[in-house]
Amino acid sequence: MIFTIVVVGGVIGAIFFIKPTPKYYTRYGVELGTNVQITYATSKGNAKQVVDEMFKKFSDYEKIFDPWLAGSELYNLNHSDGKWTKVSPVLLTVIKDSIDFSKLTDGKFDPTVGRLIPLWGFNTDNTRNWHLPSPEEIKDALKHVGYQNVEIRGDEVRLLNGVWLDLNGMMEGYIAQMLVEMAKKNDPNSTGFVDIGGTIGIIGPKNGNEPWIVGIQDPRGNPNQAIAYVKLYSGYVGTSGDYERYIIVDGKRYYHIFDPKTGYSNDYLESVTTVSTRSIYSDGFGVFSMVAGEKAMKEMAQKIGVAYYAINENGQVIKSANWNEYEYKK
Amino acid sequence: MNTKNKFFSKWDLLLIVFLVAGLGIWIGIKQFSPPAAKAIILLDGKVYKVIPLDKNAYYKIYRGDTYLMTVETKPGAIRATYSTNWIFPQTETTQVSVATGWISKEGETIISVPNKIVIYTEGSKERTLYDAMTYQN
Repeated sequence: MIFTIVVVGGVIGAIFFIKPTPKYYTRYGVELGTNVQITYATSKGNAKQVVDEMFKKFSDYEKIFDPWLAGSELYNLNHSDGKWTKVSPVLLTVIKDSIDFSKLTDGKFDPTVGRLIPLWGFNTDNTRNWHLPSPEEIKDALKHVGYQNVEIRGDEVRLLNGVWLDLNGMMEGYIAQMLVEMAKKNDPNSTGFVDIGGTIGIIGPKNGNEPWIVGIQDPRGNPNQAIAYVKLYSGYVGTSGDYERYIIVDGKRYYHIFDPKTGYSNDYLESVTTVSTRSIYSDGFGVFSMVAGEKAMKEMAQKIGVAYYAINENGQVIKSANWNEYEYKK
Repeated sequence: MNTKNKFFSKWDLLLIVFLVAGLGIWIGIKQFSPPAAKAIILLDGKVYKVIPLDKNAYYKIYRGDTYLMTVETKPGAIRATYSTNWIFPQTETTQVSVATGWISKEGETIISVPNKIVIYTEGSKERTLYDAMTYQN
């Protein structure tokens, strides 16, 4: 009988004292014109409630960042006729970061391409609206492009020369960062990740000490087909590419990332995936690279300290020297 | 002289055998009998329909009276066969939800952004190697 008591006591003790793996709650949705996945586990409170609160934030972000939503903060700024306009701290941060990166890239990354986007119809999800504009239309729109036309004074912004801002090049990374911070504020030891349209921010390592495995979509494959894998314990990963918002006219592919000098997309790269500790670079660096090409991509990566996995127009893989730190092999 | 072992009797042995057998059966059920595969269809962020993936069938998805998409199932898998946000042939753009094809593993999704539809599977025997996918935004 004593032996049985010892065994049963041991089993009960093990049940109570062995640390269980976190129970993850995952929610999917379509927000901000893209799909969203949040996976989260916490020992403080209810994971579902926290994730639901995070999802509620998207309507706020839409009212700030959607340049095509009449009445949104960015819409109002774009239609402010060159007047000084007070903006929210969130919008101001993304505008400042975007302009700083524009300066750093000598205008290869430029958020003032806003007027080009509706010309191509890429501001809508209706593919029937996507088309090749006339050279004259592009020439006219380019007169209103140039980050030098954005002035910032305290919490006010002034857009000169009729420029329109489109902050998609950094917005998703910044929102991912805000949601990661929200999750960590609830519980600093919580784990999981936030995925906003393929821009992923890590809340904490999987099961507390394992990396999350992120597939890199094959730019010429289907959406569930990975061409390589990243392992991440923290930080951000994002991808820019030519394979979702695009048209092919007379055999030439045109996609939604425009060279601010020409008004057309360049065909240097099919896809660029960036790993960074800074959320804004996980998106912004890819956009820059799609415009600037391989050589500039390599130089800028060294300058700002990001790792990248790119595929050029010939389908060849190009990796930064530090990519091995993040590469996950089956 | 009493030779009985007070620390360990045959009843103890029987109890331990029962405990171990019970634990084994419980682990076996948990490990080797996953729940039947099903597809979850979300529309506007809410569960629209849960479909057992146990037969060949077609289902139509509506928002109110508005037809949005047709999905096809076969045992263990689901795909979108038609979506109303159809491609514009002159520009050769692809319709992502239909181009995705069959999904059968946990972790795979079918997304229609214009229609705000997300489809994923639960209870599948396999899951993707990845936890999330990064793609162009």
